Amino acid sequence: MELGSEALGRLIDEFSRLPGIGRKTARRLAFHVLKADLPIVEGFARALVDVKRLVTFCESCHNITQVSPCSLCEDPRRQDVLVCVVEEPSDVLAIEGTGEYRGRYHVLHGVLSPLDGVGPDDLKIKELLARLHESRPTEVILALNPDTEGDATSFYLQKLLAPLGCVVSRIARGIPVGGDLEFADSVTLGRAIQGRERLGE
Amino acid sequence: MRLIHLSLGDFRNYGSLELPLGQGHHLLLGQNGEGKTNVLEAVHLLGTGGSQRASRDAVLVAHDAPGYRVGGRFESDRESRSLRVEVTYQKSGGKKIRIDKEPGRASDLLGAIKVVSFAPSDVELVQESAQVRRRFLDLIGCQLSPKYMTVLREYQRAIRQRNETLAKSFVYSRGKNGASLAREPWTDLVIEHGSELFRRRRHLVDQLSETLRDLSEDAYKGGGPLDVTYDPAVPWDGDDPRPAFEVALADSRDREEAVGYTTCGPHADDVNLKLGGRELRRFGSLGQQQLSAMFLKLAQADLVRTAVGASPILLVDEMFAVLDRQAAEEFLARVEGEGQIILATAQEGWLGELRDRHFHVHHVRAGAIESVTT
Ligand SMILES: [Zn+2]
Repeated sequence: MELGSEALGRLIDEFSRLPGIGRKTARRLAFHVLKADLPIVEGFARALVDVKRLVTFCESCHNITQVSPCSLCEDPRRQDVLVCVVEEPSDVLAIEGTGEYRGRYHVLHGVLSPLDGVGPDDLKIKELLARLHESRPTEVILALNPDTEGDATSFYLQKLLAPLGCVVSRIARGIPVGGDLEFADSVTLGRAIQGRERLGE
Repeated sequence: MRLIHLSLGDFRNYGSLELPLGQGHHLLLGQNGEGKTNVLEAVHLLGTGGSQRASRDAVLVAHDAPGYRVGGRFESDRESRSLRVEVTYQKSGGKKIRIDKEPGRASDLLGAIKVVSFAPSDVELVQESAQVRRRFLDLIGCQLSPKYMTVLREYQRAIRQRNETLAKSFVYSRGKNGASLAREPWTDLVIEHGSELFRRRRHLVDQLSETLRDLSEDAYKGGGPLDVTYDPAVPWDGDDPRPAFEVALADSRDREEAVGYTTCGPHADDVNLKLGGRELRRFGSLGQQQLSAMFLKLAQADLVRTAVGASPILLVDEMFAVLDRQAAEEFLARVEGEGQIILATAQEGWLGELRDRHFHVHHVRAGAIESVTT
């Protein structure tokens, strides 16, 4: 073995499997771990295992949580009549950060993108429909990123939700072009939620 | 707007070049293959984010180097503030654009810096396939309006996504009507952005046609005028192309499912060039075609000037090789009063003529430039 240690080789292999990490970076990270104090490395290893063991997805909104249903779904002070549909868990954080929204969420875990092999069945869309059929909200807010894929997904959902008879709206496009929801500042995002527009009228 | 300093690193046949450009026009004189055109290509790159000759950045990199760097300092006619633009490319890491040190995109370059390139190969606009003419139209559209660029980019993205659902329909055919359901949102987007692109192209060709007629009125010795008409992939009546586009897409459904891509839309547009009412591509002589291509570029410069209120930088490569003496002189007379011209030629016969017209002379040899101080 070129590195003189099979364990070190395995660690490099593991690191290089992570997104955006090449062979060279993986080697640097592995040597960093090798030099670090044992308690720090043990903490890191535990965090890795815990995230897999403890964090799960909420059975209702599909946000990340440690207990399902999550605290946002369980909170009795939040309005059931509003459901806000977002791409990723990080978008929930961004919208919560505005303090402008007191309804429920639904996380799709992506957007439609055939080029990336993502079709409707790969998103939490069936789950959204089932949930809306049951909870019958008065308004569904589509808060997807204002790019081509976000637009297409909104179009798709708008048609799918039409038979439910509730209002379907989209957050106002006050967000800088190409800017992800996650990076929009909370004032801008707050305004975009308040100024949302009804679709299909 | 003018370029006051150009700097190249590992670009084509230049290892390293620092070229200050003073007030006035500039002549790059040198034999073929010494690197004149590469300088023009670099300036074009700064104005558009891409090369008009190469479709891949890797071929622009000097032999054996890991990447290239092109930097330029520009000065606007009105303000004395200068703008620093840099395009770098690494074979391993891709392309980066910086404007005054801030990261930017090609659309920012098209917005900030206006260049119009003239070359003998412009005759392809007349002779070659519709794709060449669409690219020309889109370049003007993007130079005139950032909104055009947004619409174009979103349309192209939507088409690629939609084509993927056509090419791989088996992947999305889960359940009843799965494939067509999955395609629908992309069809909606293609219709939305495509209709907007149709409308904008029609307006653009109208502007181009008007400008061309004015410019070329007396140029063909009774053979003119030169005119351009829009030939959209989906013809429509009235203001809104949308209804016609919707019908055309619905009608082509069987065909596109068979071939696996979207067959109708602005990506299949063309324009017709006519000289004295006859199709230039089929009936024009080579000389007429070359002259017409030059007028198309002059019209581009004119439209840009009108839209932004300032003359673009004209990058002129070896036009004396394809224009006769009289046409070449008329060309120079037309453009010399405008913004900055950077002209490249191998024909020393023009040296005196261009000196009289206050061109600064730069000798280009083997990837090095010696500027003649005056
Ligand atoms: Zn939940």
